[in-house]
Amino acid sequence: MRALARGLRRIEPPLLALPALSLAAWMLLALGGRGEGTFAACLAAAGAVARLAFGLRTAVATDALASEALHWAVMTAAMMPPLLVEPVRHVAVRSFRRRRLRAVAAFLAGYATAWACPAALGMAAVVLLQAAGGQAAALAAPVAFVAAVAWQLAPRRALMLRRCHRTVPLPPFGWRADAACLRFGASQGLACAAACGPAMLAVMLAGGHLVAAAALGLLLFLERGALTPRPELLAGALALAAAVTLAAA
Amino acid sequence: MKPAVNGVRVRESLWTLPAWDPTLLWYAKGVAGMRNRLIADPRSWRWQAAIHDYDPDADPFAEPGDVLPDEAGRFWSKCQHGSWFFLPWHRGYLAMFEQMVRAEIADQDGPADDWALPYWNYSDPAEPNARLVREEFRVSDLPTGEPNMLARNIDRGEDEQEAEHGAATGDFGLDGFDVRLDCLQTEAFQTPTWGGASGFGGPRTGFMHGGGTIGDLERTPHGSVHVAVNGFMGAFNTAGLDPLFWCHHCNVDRLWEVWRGRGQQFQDPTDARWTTQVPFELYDASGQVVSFTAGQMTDTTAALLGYRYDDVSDPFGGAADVGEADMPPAEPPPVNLVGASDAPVRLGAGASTAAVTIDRLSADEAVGGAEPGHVYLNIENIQADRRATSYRVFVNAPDPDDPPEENFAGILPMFGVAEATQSDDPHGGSGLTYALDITGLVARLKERGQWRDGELRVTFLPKKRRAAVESDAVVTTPPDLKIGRVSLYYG
Repeated sequence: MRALARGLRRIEPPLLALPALSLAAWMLLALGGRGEGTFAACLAAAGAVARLAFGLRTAVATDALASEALHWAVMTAAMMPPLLVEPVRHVAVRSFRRRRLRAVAAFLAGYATAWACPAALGMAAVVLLQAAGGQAAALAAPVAFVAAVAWQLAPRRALMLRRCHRTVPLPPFGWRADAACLRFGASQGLACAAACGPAMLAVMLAGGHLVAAAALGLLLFLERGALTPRPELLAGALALAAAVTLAAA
Repeated sequence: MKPAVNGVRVRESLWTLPAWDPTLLWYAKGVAGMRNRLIADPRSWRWQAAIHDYDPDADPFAEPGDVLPDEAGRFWSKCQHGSWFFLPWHRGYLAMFEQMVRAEIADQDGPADDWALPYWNYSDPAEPNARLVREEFRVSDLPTGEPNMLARNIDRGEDEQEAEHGAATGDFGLDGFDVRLDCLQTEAFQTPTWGGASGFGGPRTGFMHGGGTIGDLERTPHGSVHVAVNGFMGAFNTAGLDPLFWCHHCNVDRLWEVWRGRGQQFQDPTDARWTTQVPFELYDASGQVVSFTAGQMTDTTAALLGYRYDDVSDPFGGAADVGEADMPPAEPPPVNLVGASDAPVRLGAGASTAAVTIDRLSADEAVGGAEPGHVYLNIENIQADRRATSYRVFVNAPDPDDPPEENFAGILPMFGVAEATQSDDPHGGSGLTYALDITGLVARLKERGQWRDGELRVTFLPKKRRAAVESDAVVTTPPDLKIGRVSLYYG
């Protein structure tokens, strides 16, 4: 405990915010559940496709999509912060002390914005498949897990993972500093979404269960921390998940 | 060749050995044996070099019939750079390589029990030829008439002209700046992971194949000698193919011993994250996989290593003793950014100068109006798509085109810049980042009235290669060589 306390005292506040954010999001997921979202999705199923075809404003009115969007946002807030320690630390250390919180906030804003688009596509896919029901909905998760396995082993994904370790020079003053932090966050968000998105989508299609999400989050964190990652480990876990969801289908 | 005593062999300085001393002759014979082996053999020359780094598209010894080993992913491209593991990993690497050479010597009925890798002490002030490459690494044949594999088909020099001149004279353009030993004055071995400060051994990291801030010894003389000799030595993925590489790293390893012997305050890390938590794997000469941690690399006479150096005397004549109360912390405290350049700095064939604006508020906040304990100049995210020459760094030079040595801050060797810029580099193409301790320089600048509180002017001067000096030609540099940011930190 004393070692933990000493470790925490040496961490700058922007870095402490990351595990705090993650913990808060996990607690929200644990307490919130999915019941109300599923029920609303059933009610909206018949008109889901038509509503989407009329554009976002109409779709937002749908409880299913709103619930899914919230679930994705909280899930991302739970899983991603531990993966951001390295880039957030870079932004903090490479900024003047009085600008640190602002710089980190700009980074996180860019990161979240970059995640929003692929997340929106992902949640639309989840809602549509749930609305469609039947065989398509039942097989969506195992198919997604198999795709995630293939992506996990692809050299292109390894490239995306390396981009997650990238650092960039940051202008020190003014709006250019803010813009650079925002851009850096966005580039990290895109690399992260590319590297982790398919696996996350598979977990969401399987119901977004807390334990599955936590397990995936832990494996992604361990993978990110290993500078010579072994993709076959996470691929094995995803393959197991594919088998389990197929058996349950 | 000195005999081993109680199984402890003696690594000797190249320049103390007579012509074709048995150490050199048997090194050549051992290398010849290794070069005859196929790449898939862990005892082969190419396997040993590939452990450092390997690119099949850049392998100068690639053969059409090459069969790369299945284990390449496990053992190759594992050199530790930009990390506090730089020194212990290379120590283990050299020790296993030494075993391989000794095994070849034994196969040829040579003095394997006594043979030890010699070191190239290019910084020796008592040796006028210290910076030259010895003849034994340049002539085509051994005294016996057999091909000399210390020299045959080994690329050195930036171009053909430099290679020819170097082969004839041993002069590859190493100069006094390249071989300075200022790194020995750094008391801290490690620095915080988050950068800013410099340290003798490098920043605290996990397993690191490139991408971190470069430690002081890794920067100079390690990096600057790599860049000066150039050829195979100039790139991560071919460096181990030059027999000189091993003698160079032997000296780097020796300098670690010299540093540790300077005084109580020069201590290896005791943090378990360094000593025991990260294992490295290599084959030994018997074909067994050896796993070692940094903590097992601190005693060179231990069984796994089994050597000592003939000379680990302190070139600075010893450091002042410090009492228990004045012992430096294991890791310097975090430093604070107080100034930075506002735009990238292009480096070219002539001098380039960056203006670093010092933020008064940040400076006051960092040290509360007092003098900073330490001042670090950071050169961040240096990128280029090709090799580049070394650059010397000067601070507040009166004439940037001809900066005096009294304004010298350090060297940027650019070793590995092309690799670090590639997007498939382990750090996604971040480039190289250096931290120079300029505490002493800043104090001297203030004494001379060359310091201004609001701005620092940092000049980068390329080291001209021999051809450029002789023909007064323009230095050829990669067109996209640039520094992302120059920054100033107080600690």
